[in-house]
Order: sequence, then structure tokens, then C-alpha cells
Amino acid sequence: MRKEFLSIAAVSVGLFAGLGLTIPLARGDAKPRTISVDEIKDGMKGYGLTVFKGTEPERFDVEVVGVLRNFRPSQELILIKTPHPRLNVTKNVRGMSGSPIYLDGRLAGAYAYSWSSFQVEPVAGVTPIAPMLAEMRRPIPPGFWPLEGGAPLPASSAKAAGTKHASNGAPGNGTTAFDGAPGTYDVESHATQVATRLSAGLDPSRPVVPTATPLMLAGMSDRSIALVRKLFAPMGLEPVQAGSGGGSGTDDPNAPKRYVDGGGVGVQMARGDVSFMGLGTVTHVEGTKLCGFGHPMMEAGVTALPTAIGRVHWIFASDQHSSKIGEAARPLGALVQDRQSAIVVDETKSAPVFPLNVEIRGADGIPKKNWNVEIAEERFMSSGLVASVLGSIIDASVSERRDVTWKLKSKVSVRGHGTIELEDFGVATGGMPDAGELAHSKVARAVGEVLNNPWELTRLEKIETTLFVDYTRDLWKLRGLDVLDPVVDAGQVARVRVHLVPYAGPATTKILEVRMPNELAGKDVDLEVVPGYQVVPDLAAPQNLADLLANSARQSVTPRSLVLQFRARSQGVAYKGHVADRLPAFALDALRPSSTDVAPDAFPSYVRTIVPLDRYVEGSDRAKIKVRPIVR
Amino acid sequence: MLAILRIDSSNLLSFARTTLAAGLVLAPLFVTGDAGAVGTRTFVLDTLDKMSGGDLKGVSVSSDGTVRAGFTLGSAPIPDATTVFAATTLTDGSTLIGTSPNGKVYKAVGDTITLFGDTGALAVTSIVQAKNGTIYAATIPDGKIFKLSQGKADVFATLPDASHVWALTRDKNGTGLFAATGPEGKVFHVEANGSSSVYFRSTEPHLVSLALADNGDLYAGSSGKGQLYKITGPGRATVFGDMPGEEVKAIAVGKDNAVWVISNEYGEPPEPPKRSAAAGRVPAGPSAAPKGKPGKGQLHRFDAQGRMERMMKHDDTHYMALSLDDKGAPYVGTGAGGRVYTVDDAHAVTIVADTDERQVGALHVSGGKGFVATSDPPVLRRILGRGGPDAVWTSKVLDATLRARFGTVSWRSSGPVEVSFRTGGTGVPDATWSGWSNPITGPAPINATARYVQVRARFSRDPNATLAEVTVPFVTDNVRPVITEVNATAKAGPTKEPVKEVPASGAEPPKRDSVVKVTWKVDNPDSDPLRYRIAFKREGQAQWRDALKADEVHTKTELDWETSALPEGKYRVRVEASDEAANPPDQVLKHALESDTVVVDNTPPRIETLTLAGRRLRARVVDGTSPIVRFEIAIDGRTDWRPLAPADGVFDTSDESVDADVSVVVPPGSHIVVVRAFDAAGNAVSRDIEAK
Repeated sequence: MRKEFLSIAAVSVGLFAGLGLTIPLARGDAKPRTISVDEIKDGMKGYGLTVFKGTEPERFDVEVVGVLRNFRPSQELILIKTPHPRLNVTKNVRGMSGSPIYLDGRLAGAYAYSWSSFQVEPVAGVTPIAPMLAEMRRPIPPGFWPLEGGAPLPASSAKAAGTKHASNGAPGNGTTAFDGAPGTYDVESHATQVATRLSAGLDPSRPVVPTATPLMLAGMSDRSIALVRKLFAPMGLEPVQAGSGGGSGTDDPNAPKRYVDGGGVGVQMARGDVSFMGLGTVTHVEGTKLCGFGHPMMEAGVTALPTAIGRVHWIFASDQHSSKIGEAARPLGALVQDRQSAIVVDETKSAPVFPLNVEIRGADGIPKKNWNVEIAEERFMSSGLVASVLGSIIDASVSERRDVTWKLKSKVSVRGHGTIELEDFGVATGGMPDAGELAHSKVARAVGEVLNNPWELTRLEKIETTLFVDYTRDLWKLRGLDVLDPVVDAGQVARVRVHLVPYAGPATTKILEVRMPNELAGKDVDLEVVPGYQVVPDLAAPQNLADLLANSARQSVTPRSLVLQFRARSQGVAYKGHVADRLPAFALDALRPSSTDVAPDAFPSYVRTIVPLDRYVEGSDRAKIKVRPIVR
Repeated sequence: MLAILRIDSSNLLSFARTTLAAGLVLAPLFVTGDAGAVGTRTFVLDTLDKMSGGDLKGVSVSSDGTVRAGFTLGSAPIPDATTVFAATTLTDGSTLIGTSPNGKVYKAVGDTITLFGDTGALAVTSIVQAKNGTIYAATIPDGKIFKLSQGKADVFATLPDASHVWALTRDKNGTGLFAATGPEGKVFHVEANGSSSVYFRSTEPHLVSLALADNGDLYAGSSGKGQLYKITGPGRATVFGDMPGEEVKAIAVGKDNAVWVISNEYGEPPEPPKRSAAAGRVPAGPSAAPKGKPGKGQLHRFDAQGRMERMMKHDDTHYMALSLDDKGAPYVGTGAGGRVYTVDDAHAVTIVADTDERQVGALHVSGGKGFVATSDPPVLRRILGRGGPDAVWTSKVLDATLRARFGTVSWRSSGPVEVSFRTGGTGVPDATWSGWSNPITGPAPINATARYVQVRARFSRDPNATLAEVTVPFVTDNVRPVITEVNATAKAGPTKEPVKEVPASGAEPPKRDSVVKVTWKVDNPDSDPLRYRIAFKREGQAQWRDALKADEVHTKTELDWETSALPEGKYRVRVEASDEAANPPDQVLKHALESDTVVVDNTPPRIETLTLAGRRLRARVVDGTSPIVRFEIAIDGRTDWRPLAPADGVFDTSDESVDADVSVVVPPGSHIVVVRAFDAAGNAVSRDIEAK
């Protein structure tokens, strides 16, 4: 079994208080007194700070058992025992990552690594403080936060300054970037890429691993948690059901106003009616900045995610691995660096988030019709979070094991590009789609596409979604078709009769017509009847984000329709938003030069008749007819 | 006398097209002291195809192969475009050029190109200037006509149900427009205020060309079935011409009311790549889709009485542009090769411009001036005049196929023409070639040894000079012909080819034929005419004997060798190739090769014994040379031959016995039993015996 060395968070003040020990709440505005690794010897004793319950750190004893040299590149690891009544039970605890460890009264580092699961004694690895402080003092690239205290990257100034995207870095770069062509975004592929990057070069059998950061999930359904676990667990982010606390937007007046050494710190990826927060411990506060965790969260480098002061409810003890459970007590600052040895939070920063508002229609009597969530803008996380949040809302509101026809109409506002409208829809037997299915929805994909687009830096401003549900199986099944005119004169209309069968009720027929052009005289023509949602209109390949967004909203003809179509003899071309269909031969030849490959793309032309219907259609069919030349 | 071979320069090895031309230009022969063959051959460039095989910068080539100074063209590359769809000369003398794929219109003043208007469309397909000076541009794919002025492109009209506007022309008043459109094949009349109405509705998918006659008749050409319509009023039209091909690309009406039409015929375009489900979301990469082949173009003229006459055709290119000059002479721009042709009343076709670009997108010729606007890549080439220092005819690289000595280059000309030549060892001239020789104005020896030669001519001294019939004699090294393979098989016998399948059991016996087919292959690098000598000898003998008559000159690579007069046995055939027909005796080179053995067997086998005891037939058959392959029996003169097996089960030797119960074949009673036997050469013998 794979062993893990878990990063561990702070020790409960309460427990130590019970033992009669008190410590001052550290909040340094000056440089701390530190002890270097070279000065640390086996058997040295000291203490650590972490929150066992509430928001105040408590003290726990530590004893050095050794130092691992070059544990990571240019980084040592101090091994300690933590003899403490509670920790003797819990062993290592997820969420204690970052708990400061003091030796000889000086700050030695952060409780950060553990050995495997099923640990039988409380031994942990400590990341030395020196590299953590170095990361905390590491400058942010100029222009990354154009407005002090504000969110990074107002699109205009970012463009003007030619700077990188705060959460994304340069387009196409970064640990959390999606490596794929625009238009092919898929959050599960993205998760695999990110997990691969984070584990690249690491021996999977290594005994010492960073402690997983517990993800405090509130307001999320089990099915959504399953998606979250699937996407985030390979990165060391372990979902734990919790509460949303002050993260919902209403601050707890009793919550601390500032971060303190050993206090809880949460990275809030979603907050509001649904919340999603990674919980760890502050190692050291210096001015308005702090370092914590003692290991990376996603090793994203310069980043911008909202943070909050964490409140711990309890440490769940588990033979496999124990974990803190907690919530946000007060939103404060932003995660600005996510590095190998530490995360760095700046209290004065405000990370970009976008509101996701969901309204539910058609489900009478549900307890909550409007949901509001703020989601952190991050290349990888945002898309999965949108799907998870939507899945949770659906599960909480309209999850019933009966047939349902649903439609998700979303308005996605993108800075500088206005609002695009997307429509996801479906007919499901046995209940609504879950978060896993919604991960492939147009709206979730659009979020990933926008944040990972290779053309420009932009921001999601808001997403407004309306979910329409109708507890019927609103579906026609295509039973088959009759060719009414097996031979038709060129220039005349060919007709087919389609037989449509509903789930319950009488079957019906419809006659579809399409005109046979003269150019097909003497030819056999293959007619095809397909549902409208399967017909992808001819679109020009996107040249920029605006094109991509415009095309995203036009990925099918009328979804509730039947399309009668056939291949025309001619071809068309598409280029830079233009679609020129059914071209004469000279034009097709002229538009496709041989001296350059940057030219319009050819595509086969189709002649289509679109017949709107009151329901979605399932199934397709084909028929052949003959077009007769007119000689009379 | 030595014959001088006149060889089609486009295919030196094509002896089938070789003709004797003893009276042609005689160049002095280079006497070589070593291996040089004396078979002098000559490159003769004397037709349009041969004279236009190289580079034609600033020269024209007519269909009789005469080269003249042609259009001297300027060169002004057009930015941010790949294709020129339309160009027109404005009243101020400047030129407007409509391009794709960015729908921009450029203005050219001299060779200075500036952006005039950006329609934002995919392509600007036609530009016209109204009588009042307003400029209109037709575009695809949204059916829009723009009104252009410097730096501005405003939508003037959007034609209903028309995606593509292919052509514009002014109406008779000069204020309104006619617009030819697709994909529903309509002509719209567009008023000066931008309102439009359908003027003519065809049954074709596209109307792509328009021209207005002085009398107000409107001609429109279609893409689909290649119809040429004459439209005399709203909705009043007749098919003026049913043109060959699918497309009437351009129409021009001359002052004599002659209507000129270019039409094209295309094959099926290559299938475009299948679109993925992510089409429209994935950015395009380098286009790997196959490009179409050029079509075939034809130019027709309708005289004032409407009689159609084909004036020119090309099977290797379709036509893209048509212009009539002041005298009514047609100029046609091609869709492949970037050439401009003209043709006179006698159907003499002349290349007047040969550009480096793929297509001629638009063309205007007037008073010896005008422009050729090319595509792929787009370049505006102004017609600067005729001749001049840049008017250079350069032949294609002429390949002697072997190292050769080149003789005196000569030509026919009127007026002074400066000719130069160069030689080299690579098919494409490079730094290893000799430099161009000093210009010569009369025949002069090349005096060089190389495989390739190239000739060029300048017309700078006299723009009216002509050049025709350029000849370059050469003598290649004499190289030995080598026989690479000799096959000799009985004409009716089994083939020497490897047997791929087991032959059918009890197959028909071989047919006898005394003719042995001898074939051979020869490697003849210098293409000398070869004479073959064929000899044979019996296996075991030393003496080769001629298979040909003493005075027979055999030049084919096969021989039907009659063997009926030869004793049977195994023979070998030897073929000797000699280039003595092209070389003096002391330089003749020969090579000979023998065949495998071939069996000559013209005598039938013998039935040594034949007995029939009851219905038990016993026989022994013997042949002198070949194995016995079949023994058959029939009765009473019927032809229902039934095979019998040999006593040892396999027909494999020339001495076989048969011992068989023939009661199934010979019923009780008295019958005449006939048996016959075949050897492997097909010789047969028969005997009869009476059955009681």
C-alpha cells in the first residue's frame, strides 16, 4: 500500500490550554528569529502551533528525530515527533500543514510532510523556514497586480502593460494550463494533465509525501463531491464534507481580523451557497503577508485565489489519515504564490472571482430557487467548480428518480466580449444529470475555454444560468421514414414521411421536403434525417477568442428539430468568420491557393431543411432517391 | 550519308516520334578521337509547346513557334491577400483590385499599392465604376454590394436570398447595376438608391459573369451547365449559347457586337477533409487538404449573327479572365500557369505573358497598356510596353540524356536577336553550369561537352524582331547497348513465367507449334539505333548458327524462330546487339546474351506396342526428346477422348507404358478403339485396334 507523509496543520490551542500551557498569539511585523537546519540536532525539543478547535492556535510539543538532507532540491526536511495527547491519537493530520515549529525558541519551519497512511506514531516532516520566508519575500512580477489591493488583470490595463494573467500566467503556460487546442477543452483531460505535471519526476512509491490539503466542501451533493474527488484528489486535495461558515459572505463578527502564526488559512475556490475551500495552517505572518502549508497546493507559481481565515471544528481521527474539519471564518486576502516550499497569502490582495447565479424553473415547491456562488477564476479549477456547483444545486433541488426533460440556459459574460448564450439540454430517464455529466456541458466547457484561450487575457465577469425542468419524457423516437418521391425531377421537391413515436401516446407522422437542385440531375441522392442537435453548422475556424465564443453558441442547428439533408455536389469554404457555401468550381479553386497554407478551409456543402418540433428527437435514418433530368 | 535525327525535344527517348529530316539545318560535325558516336542529333524548338517550355519573360510565343517581344510586365505585390478576383481601371487611370480572403480592395497608382477599402467580406469578386464615378464592389458570401471611396466601404445593397455576388456591370443608363448571383442563379437590377429587384431568374445555381452590349442586351453566364443567357428585358431571356463545360467564366462584347466567352470544364474537386465534431471551435492549422486539378478552358466567339466559333482551347488549364483590346482582340488569362494568351482570326494562338504566379485573376489590355493581376500569390503586373532589355526568351533545359558535344546553335529570325547559351551537368541550372555565353547574332558553335544545354534570346535591340526554329545539334558519347534478358519459348508451348498456380489436372494437351518466340530486352542509354543478330546452337555443340538470313537487318526486340527444319533437341539462342548503324566500324559497340535452353521437338512420339486383351489395354509410348504428357482413348470414330493413366501413375518420362481396364470406355461388342499420345511439345500419334 502506498504510504503517505501528510502535511499537517496546527495543534489545538484548546488542548494545550487544557494542559495549562499558554502561548502568545504570534503576529510578526518584524523578521522572526529563526534557526537554521545546520543548528538543529537530534533530540532537540521545542513546540509547534496549530488550531485544534476554533480559530486560535494551540501549542504542542515536538522533538527532533533527524534531518533529511536534500529532501527536495535545495531543501532539507526536519523529522520530528509530536508527543501530544491528541496527536498521539490522530497521528498526522491533514490541515496541519504549515503549523510553525519552534526549536530553541526560534522558528524552525512548517509541519508539512508525513509518512504514508496508517501511520502508527506521530512523526512528521518539517519544511525548513528559510525557503518559505524566501518565497514569502519573493516579488510578484511587475504588472501582475496592476491595482494595489485589487484583483489582478483588468483586461485593458493588462493588455496595455503586456502582463501575464494573474491566475493563469502567460497563455499556454503554467502548471494548471490546459494543453490542447481551443475548442477541445475537457475538464477531465485537464485534470489528468495537471495531476501529471504535479507528479512529474516524483517516485510514486516514495515514502514521504506532502500532506494532502483537505478540501472543505459545503453545500455539495455526494455526486458532486465524487466529481471533485475525481478531479482534485490526484493533486493532493482531499474533499471533506464541511460547512461554509463565514465564507458565505456574512462575516463572523467574532472571527479574527488578521492571520496569526499557527492559525487556520483557507484557499477559497468557491463560496456562497456552495463552498469549496482548501484548509491549512499559517506558518508565519510578516506584515500583510504570510507563508503557510510548507508545501505547494498545486505548485501553480504566481497565482491569485481568494483566501480566508480558517476555523477548525474538530480533528477527525482515522487510522488511514486524520483530517481537520473546518470552514472559512472571514474572507481575507489572496493566495499570491503557490511554490514548492510554501504558499504565500497577501492580506491586501483581492483575487478574481466570478458570480454564478442559478435559477430553477419548473420544479414547484423546491425550498430554494435561486443559488448564488462566487467561484475563483482559475484555469483548471473554475470549469470543474462550475460543474460541481451546478450538479450540487440540481441534486439539492430537482433530483428525482423520474424521467425529466431539462434545459440549462446560461449567459456567460466575458470581459471585452459581451455575453454569450449557451444552451445545454437533455432528456433523461431516471433523473437529472449529475456533476460528472455537467462537466461536459457547454457552460462548463466555455469556462475552461475562456480561461485557457491562447489568444488573450480576459476575465469571466459572471454566469447566469436558468435551469428549466419538466418531469416528462419529452422525446420523439424516430421510428423510420417513407420515401414519398423515389424519383423526383431536378429542381422539384422531394418528400419523405417520418414516423415519430413518443414515450407514451399515439405515434405521429411528419412530411419533410427538400428541393433537389438542378446540378444533381441524373444522380442518386442519399437523404439523411437527423436530429437538429446533431447537425453542426458549417463554421469558420476561430481566429480569436471572439470567434471561439461566437462559434460556441452555434454548435448545432435548432436542437428541437428534425433535419432533412443531403450532400450537394459543390463545396464551400470557411475562413475568419465567413462561410461561403456551394461555390462554383472557379471560386473554390481561386480561394484555395497553393502558395500559402493560411487560407480558407474547404468543406462539403449540404442542402438542409430544418423542421422545428415540440420535442427532442432520438434516432436518424437514411434513404436514397433519384433525381431525374428534365427533358420535356 | 549520315542521317540527322530530328527529335522531339520534349521526349528524347521517344523514337516512335523520330523522323528523318535530312534537309534540316546542318551543323558541322565534331570529329571526336575517342568514344564519340557520330550519330548527330538535333534539338529542334519549332512549335508553341517547345518554344514555351522554358521562361517567357516579356516575350510572346505564337502557335507557329515564333517568339516575339511580348508584354513587358511590372511587378507590384499585393499585400494581405492570396487571390485577385477582380480589378478595374478607374477614370483617373488608377487601378482598383478586389482580393480575398480578407475582402480588401487595393488601389494601384503605378506600382504603388495602397489599401482603398476593406469590406470585411471573404472576397471582392467584382468592381465597377458608375457613370457618376461611384465605385461599387461585389462580395461573397453575404450577398452584399459595397460603395467604396478612399478608406471607406459602406454597404450599398444586400441582395435578398443571394449569398454570393459574382459579377457586376453597369446598366444601360450607367447609374444602376446588374448583379449576377448565386446560389440561386439570379440577376438583380440594383437602382442607384440601392433598392434591388430580380431581373432574371435562371435554373442554374450560379450566374457568374455579365456583359452589357451597346444595344442594352445583357449577357449572363452560368456555373452549373455552362449556359450563356441573353437577357433582353426583365424576365425575358434566351439561352444564347450552351457552352461546353460547366461554367461560363467571363463574357466580353466587342465593338463589332461579337460576343466572346470563356468557358471551363472541371473534374470532380478532391474531397475535402471530413469535419470533426469540433469544427468551428478548433483553430485551423496548416491546410493539408488536397488542391484541385486545373480544368479545361475554351474561348468562343459569337459573331454579330450569333454564330459560334471556338477560337482556342487548352486542356491543361481553365480560363479565369478575359479582356478585349481596342481592336477587339481577345486576351485570356489562365487558371494554371499564370499565362495570358491571345488568338487571331486565323486561330493562331500566342502566349503574350507568362507570369510566375498560378493564376491570372483579372486582366485589362488597351492600346498596348493595361495590367495583368495575378493570384497565388497576388501581384499586379502593369503592362509597360513591348520588348526592352527585360524581354528574354529562355528555352527549357534541353537534356541530351548523356554527356554530349554540342554543335552550332542556329535559328531563324527576322531582325536582330541576341542569342546566348549555357551548358551544365544538372537538370536544374545551378552554380556548376557555365555562364551564359556572350550574345551572338548569328549561328555559332557551342563547343562544350555537357549533358544539358539551354538557350536564350533577347529582343532588346529591335522589339519587332522574331525568333523561330532554334536548333542545337549534339553528339552524345557512344555507350554500349546491353542485352539484359533473353527469353525463348515455343510459341504455343508453356510460358517461361513462373507458374503461380497448379495447372488443372487432365488439362488439354499442348498445341504443337514449330515457331519459337524469342524476345529480349536491351539497355540502350544513348538511344543509338540498334541492329540485332540472333544465333542458335544445339546443346552440346560449339557452333553458333545464324537464325536470320545473311542479309537480314533485324531491329526489333523479338523474333519468331521457325524450327520445323531442325532436328529435335535442346537449343540455346544468343542475341547480339550492335550500334553499327550509328557508328563507324572502329567505334561499333556490341553485347550479346544467351537464353536458357529451349526444346525443339517436331516429331511425334511412337506407340511401340498396343494390345487389347478383352478389355485390358496395354501400350508403350516412346518419344525421342520430350516427356509423354497424355494418353487418350476413343471408340468408333467419336471425338469423346478419354484419358488413361500411365502404369507408373505419372507422365514424367519420354517412355511411358499404359496398362488399363477400358471396359468403362469400351462397351461389350465389337468396336474400333483408337488411342493417341502427346508429347510435351504437342506432337501427337494415334493407332487403332479392334475390340471384340
